[in-house]
Amino acid sequence: MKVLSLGKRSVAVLAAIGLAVGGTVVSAHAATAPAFIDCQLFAAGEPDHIDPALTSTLVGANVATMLFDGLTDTDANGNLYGEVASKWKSPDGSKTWVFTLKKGLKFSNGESVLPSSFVNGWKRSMDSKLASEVAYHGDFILGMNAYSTGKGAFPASSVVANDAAMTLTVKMENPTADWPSIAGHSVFSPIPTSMVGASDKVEEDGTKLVGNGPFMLASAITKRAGGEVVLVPNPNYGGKASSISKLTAKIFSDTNAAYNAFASGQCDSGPIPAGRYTELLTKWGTKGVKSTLGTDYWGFNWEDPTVGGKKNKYLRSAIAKAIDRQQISDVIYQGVRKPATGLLPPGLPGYKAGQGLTATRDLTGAKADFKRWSDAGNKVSSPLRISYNDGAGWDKVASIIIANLKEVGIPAKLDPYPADGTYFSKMRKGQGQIIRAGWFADYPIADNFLYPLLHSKSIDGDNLERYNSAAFDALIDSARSTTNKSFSQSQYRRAEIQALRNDVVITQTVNRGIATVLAPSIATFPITPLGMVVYDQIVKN
Amino acid sequence: MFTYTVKRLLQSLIVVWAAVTLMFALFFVIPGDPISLKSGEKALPQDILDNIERKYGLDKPVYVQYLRFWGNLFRGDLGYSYKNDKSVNTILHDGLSTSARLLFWGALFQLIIALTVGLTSAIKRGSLGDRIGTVFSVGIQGIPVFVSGLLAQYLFGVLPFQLHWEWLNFFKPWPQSWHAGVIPGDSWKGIILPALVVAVVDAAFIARMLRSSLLEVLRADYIRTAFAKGLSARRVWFHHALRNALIPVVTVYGTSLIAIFGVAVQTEKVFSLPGMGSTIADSALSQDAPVVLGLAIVVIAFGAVVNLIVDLSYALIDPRIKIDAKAVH
Amino acid sequence: MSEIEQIPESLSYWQDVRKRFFGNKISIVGLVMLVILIIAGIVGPFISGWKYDNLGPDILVGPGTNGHWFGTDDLGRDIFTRVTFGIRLSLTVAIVVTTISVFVGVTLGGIAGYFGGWIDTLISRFIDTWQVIPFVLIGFAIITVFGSSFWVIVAALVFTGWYSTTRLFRASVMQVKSLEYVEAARATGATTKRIILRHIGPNAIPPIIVVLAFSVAGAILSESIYAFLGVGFREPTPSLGVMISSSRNFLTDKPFVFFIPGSILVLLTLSIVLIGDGLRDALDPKLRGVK
Repeated sequence: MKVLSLGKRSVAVLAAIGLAVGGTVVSAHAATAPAFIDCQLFAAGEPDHIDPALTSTLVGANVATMLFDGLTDTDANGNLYGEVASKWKSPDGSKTWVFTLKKGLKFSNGESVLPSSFVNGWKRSMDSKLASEVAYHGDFILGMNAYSTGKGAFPASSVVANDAAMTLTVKMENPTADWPSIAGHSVFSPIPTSMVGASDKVEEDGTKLVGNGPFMLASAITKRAGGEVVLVPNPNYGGKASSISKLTAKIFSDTNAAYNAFASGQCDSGPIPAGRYTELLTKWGTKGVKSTLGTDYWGFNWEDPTVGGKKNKYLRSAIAKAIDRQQISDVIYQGVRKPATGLLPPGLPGYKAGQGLTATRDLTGAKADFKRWSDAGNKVSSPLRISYNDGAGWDKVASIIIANLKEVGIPAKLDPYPADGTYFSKMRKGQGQIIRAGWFADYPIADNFLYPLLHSKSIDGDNLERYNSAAFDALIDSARSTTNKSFSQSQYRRAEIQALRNDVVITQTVNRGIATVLAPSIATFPITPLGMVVYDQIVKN
Repeated sequence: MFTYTVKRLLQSLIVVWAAVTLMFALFFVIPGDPISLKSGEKALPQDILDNIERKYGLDKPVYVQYLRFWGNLFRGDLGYSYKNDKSVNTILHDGLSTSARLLFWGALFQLIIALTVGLTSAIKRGSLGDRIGTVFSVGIQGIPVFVSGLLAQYLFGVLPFQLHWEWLNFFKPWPQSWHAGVIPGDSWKGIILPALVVAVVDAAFIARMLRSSLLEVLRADYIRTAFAKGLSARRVWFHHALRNALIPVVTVYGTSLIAIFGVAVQTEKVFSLPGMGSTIADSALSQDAPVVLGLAIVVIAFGAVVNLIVDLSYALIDPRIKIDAKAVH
Repeated sequence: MSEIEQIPESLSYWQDVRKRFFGNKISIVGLVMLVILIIAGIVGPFISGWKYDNLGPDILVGPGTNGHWFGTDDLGRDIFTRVTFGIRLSLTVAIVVTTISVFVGVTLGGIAGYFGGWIDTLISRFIDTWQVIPFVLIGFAIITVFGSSFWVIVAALVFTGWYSTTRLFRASVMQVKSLEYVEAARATGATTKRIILRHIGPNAIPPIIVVLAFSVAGAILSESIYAFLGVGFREPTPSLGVMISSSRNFLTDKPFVFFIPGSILVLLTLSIVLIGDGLRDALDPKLRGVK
């Protein structure tokens, strides 16, 4: 999962109050506040990074957002709020954005957080020599792509800091109404002057990765598997003080080992091994369960002679109607991932329920559609290939889909690929037939789903179906170029219907969710819709 | 002997070079473009992939990468992980400290089990103990390490936990210190199961070797003479029989050390230990080639050194080998 | 020793071997176990009434529930059908791998052992190189790149198994070559082909038979290890290793999901090891005449 995000405190309002009393409050608080130990599951070699400029995984980004505060953030209810920025406006129809920053905020080393701290941070994270995997998020900024690909200098005229007036002016490549949401991504974090030009190994020295978030690194992160990341409250933090005095994230390379450590009382939270959601959530409670801004779906290769194109619509709609989303949700995810009704997940601004062709199973409809397609002289000459990347339980979802299709009389077979990278690169080249896909929001905006996943300009990229529809493209293009929020919203909704109902190029299955088991002493465990645990607001009895 | 040693040493170096080159080809050349595999559910733009390739020097021709790899190796630099830019030297150090402890305790248990079982079945040949020993040593060969590991977890972890027999629960976290296991306390418990699982695989084989080798020695004339001279049974056993019988066993022990990596991978995976084996396995699956290669070099060099020692000790023990070696080369 | 005298003696040798093998109780146990498992592998999937990839409504039910003799797994698939299929798969892979490995081993080992000289040095050093690379790494390299289809897995297993048969056959040929009657045959002017086919071949065969048995067991183990480590067969292919690997999550509550495929795998390899062990004793010329 390549997920990035923001998320933290929803209490930015309190920042100014906390400021007055400063560090003493934090340290006095720390003496009485409980510590929290997270038995976190990290895959092999993870966290990839906890440096906000480099991390591209959920676990890494979660630590990074605890260490760094961005201009904006999304709270546990999915609302955008100013974190370092107090307000923002665009004088010219989203072509330029001016952020006004709060005064008096500090990094953990005492240095002030200024508009130029952001310029320094972006100069570092977009540097082609740092080669960050997430640098492309900067492409929204005028001239940034040339810098991040090593073809040009940093576009100083596009990112202008005025430290005296505490304003940061950003020029966009194209009008971008959603820029304030995008600017909350951790790749846009500020850095102190001591981190200017820091290498990709700065996190391995605990004293050098210095942020402005509620926590700071207590020691270096060296070991991955078998090691731990230890965070302590940032004494110079300007926002509300952390509710816990210490956060220890233990790193395991295996879900079972992590759960066992949790169950034996070594940690306050832990992951749930596959297939044991019902059992363990019954046992430990459901406070750690949260629906997140992600959707799983299966796409049809638009260029495939059997399933693709306008003429095979009724085969696709038969498949979409045959899939038993409830069964997938119950058997595989045991309710943690719930049946989806459209591509955009609930909680995303602009979400509307029921945008997909169908959310419930319609066996009669599936049989009728299949018959209609067959009567037109079509037939499935060899079993349809259900392609997926192995190792994350997709084989089980695919097995259910095959069984579902069998009842309609549509033959299908499993088509597994060994590694994620191989799978996605083959699918991008159009080698799939029925394609396992999914998306997790980078920023909570509709465009972050519809443009990369289905626009014809995203072919060879995340448009795995190679879907090419002039009607769909026109809707998205018009939504992108307008500053009228309600008009763009309705255009995005029409586009979703165009792809999911009129063309049936993809069919959604379930919305994503996170499930964590928690020790009985944990009273509150806030998680943002972007999957970030808000550690500084954990309440432990 | 000197020329033979030098010759054999040179051969070992060539073997290591060839094996490392083979691994380089398998992990750097055949997969084609490891960086493109960084694109997962979210595609990375080609420009970003190019940046990353430049950072790791993968934009250079293969022969340049290969030469640079050896150059860095001679400077003691194993490169950096594609996944988290961590130095492979550090990853190696972390993994090695776990694996070395696992293998140390495993080898110790192995020796104890092999000697006990082997000696008992040789001394009390045909007894119930001997027969049990034989069945045990044949039987264990049919049990893969990951199955015995899971079985051990069930019998000495899950079951005692469910029955509240805490004294029997040995499924504990892996201790972080070297001396755990010697110093009393609870941490030694975490070592027992993984080390035993490593130990039993070849312990059975070595015990059988010891038994048959002992029986052969006992039939030899000089042992009969020793008994005939009226030496005490204990003296004959330990001074004459065991000493001579151990020679073939030691060489078998050496070759079993080469195979121990395969055992370590499974044990570390089953018990979720952060050792070399599990690190290589995980890195290979995520195509983190520098980590795989960096750690594999150590395993390969270890295998070559053990081979060398075995061959040299053969030559020392049995002069005929030297003649044979000369004849062959 | 002339050829004419040798034939009746070699006949009696095989009679002797047979007598010794069937006189060994442990080998008989192994043989009976293997036969039962093979029969189960052949007929099991047909008589259970379920298909190995059919998802049923009964999830993780214990043995004997609703006509599932061995219970079901987390997707409601019949475990009996899956393990019997697993036996079939394990044996098929092992036999194919062993056949290819032995073919390679006999060819290369025979060449190296008989001709000696530089070709022997070349082959031997190549084996040395290959041997110091841990076998799991070769599997990882091949399978992560080429996928986990049947023939890729077979290739990976052959790559990890060919050198031990080669090494053994080479040693065996070298030993036999130096025996008196071969030298005698050579002295009488027999051709190389004749010497290899009539003299060296038959005498180098007994160790090959033993190796054959152990290679089959070894291939079964390696296949399951690959599957366990995630580089062998994958779901929904009912490989025993795959089943054991996915049973880990249920070890605490539904241990039968682990114990059934686990014990089948152990019984399968154990029966072959026992047979191999019996064969080794029976074929060992040093034990001739000993009962």
